[in-house]
Amino acid sequence: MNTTASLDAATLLCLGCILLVPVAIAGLALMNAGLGRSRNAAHLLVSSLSVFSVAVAAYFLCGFAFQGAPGGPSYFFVAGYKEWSWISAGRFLFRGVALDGSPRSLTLLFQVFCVGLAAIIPLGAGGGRWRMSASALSAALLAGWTYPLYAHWVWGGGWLAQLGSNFGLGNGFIDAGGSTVIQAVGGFTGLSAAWILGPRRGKYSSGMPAAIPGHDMVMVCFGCLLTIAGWLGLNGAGALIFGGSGGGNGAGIAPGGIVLVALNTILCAAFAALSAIFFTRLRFGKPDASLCINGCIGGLVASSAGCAVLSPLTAAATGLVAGAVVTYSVEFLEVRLRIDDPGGAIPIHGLCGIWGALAVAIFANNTSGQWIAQLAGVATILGFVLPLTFGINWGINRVWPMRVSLEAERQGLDLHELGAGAYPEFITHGDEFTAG
Amino acid sequence: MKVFSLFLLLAGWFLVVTAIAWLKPGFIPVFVIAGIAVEVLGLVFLARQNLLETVKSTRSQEPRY
Repeated sequence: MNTTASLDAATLLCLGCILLVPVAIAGLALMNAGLGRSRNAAHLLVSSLSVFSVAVAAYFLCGFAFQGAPGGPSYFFVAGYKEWSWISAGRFLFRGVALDGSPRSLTLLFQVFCVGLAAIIPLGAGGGRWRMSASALSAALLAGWTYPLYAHWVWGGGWLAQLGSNFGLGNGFIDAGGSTVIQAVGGFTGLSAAWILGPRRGKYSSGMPAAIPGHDMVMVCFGCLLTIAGWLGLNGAGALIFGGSGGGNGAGIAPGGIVLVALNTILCAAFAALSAIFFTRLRFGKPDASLCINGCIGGLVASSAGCAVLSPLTAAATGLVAGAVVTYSVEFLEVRLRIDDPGGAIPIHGLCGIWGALAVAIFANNTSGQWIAQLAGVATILGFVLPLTFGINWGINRVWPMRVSLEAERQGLDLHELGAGAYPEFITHGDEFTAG
Repeated sequence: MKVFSLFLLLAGWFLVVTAIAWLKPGFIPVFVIAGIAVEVLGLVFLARQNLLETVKSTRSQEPRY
């Protein structure tokens, strides 16, 4: 039987977009590896693979059951005479979902990749000092509990998605491509991990932060280009599934709307890169390679929430602000707050994710009260997701220490945890530990 | 102090949620903004606490090689 012939064009388009998402995951993994030290490169890539695998497994076991899909059964409580759906009542192990190209099965497939993407983001913040087993444990709890809970609220017909129908706040919280659901959840988990792990040895030994540049900018740049390609799929699939006027209540855009989504994504990334080039040139005299690339990714992250509702002009404006956010927040976090984030996960995914949600409130043609719904979504990230991930990672650190030993850090995690370096033919150790 | 910061983050979120659930539409924006302000305060305290811990730990980890 030829089942492909029975799928309509919209389903095939959505499926094509979903299958592009792993390209973004590969790109982010390459960027994290390239922005770290050469002695940790293989460790970061293998950690990405293990974290992705663990996240998918945890999501398979229980994550999707907690998240659910719009229109599915859920647990709710009543407040203000309205029902607040807070967690799905789905079945574990993907049971009860017909895997036949139906909207529910497409949502499931999309979410499997989204949870993998969210899980590898924190690795950028904890690179060079995070034990692989501890990062996998953290990813399991992220994919099995934190992500599904917030994703249910936004994408599964939960209370944030219902703010429009229940309280007249616009169309409810809008986040078509996952600026907050995927990126901010991953970014703030990275912030929790960076706080708990502390900075890499040698980063602040002389008082001021030591510059520890990425070891392979070619890898970083290639990762960025892959991420751009994958992001077209991420935003496209998100908009086709969740980007319609009903938001997370299950309405997607019409297939023709994919043109606007792709255009907004690229415009936002391009203007964010230009903004980062401008501001780094203004600040340092020359464009900084890693900040410019990070700025571009920040633009992609910011584009996700409003990719289906922004106009090209406002998408460009969103990108301009995202580039500036990345450029200045990287320095602020590193110098003023002493947060060591080698991959830039916190400014790129955390802060730009929040900016993306706020950009919808500012720039989109919104109905009354939409900006309050957007603020409620952002408030939930800061006031619920951050304490939750901080508590989870703090608990993990108590029972299974997250940080490697001093000797392991000096030796490099490739040799210490994997037994072989990424570049065995080269001497790659720096001398920052011998400096006075 | 760290627990207090996390409590402030949660308190700000509860303020936002309860305002949406129970207040009249005219009052909601004020309380939502107030809730986010409380969250920002919690974030500042949490960042400051972690900054102090980082400074303390890096002082005790001067290069030993």
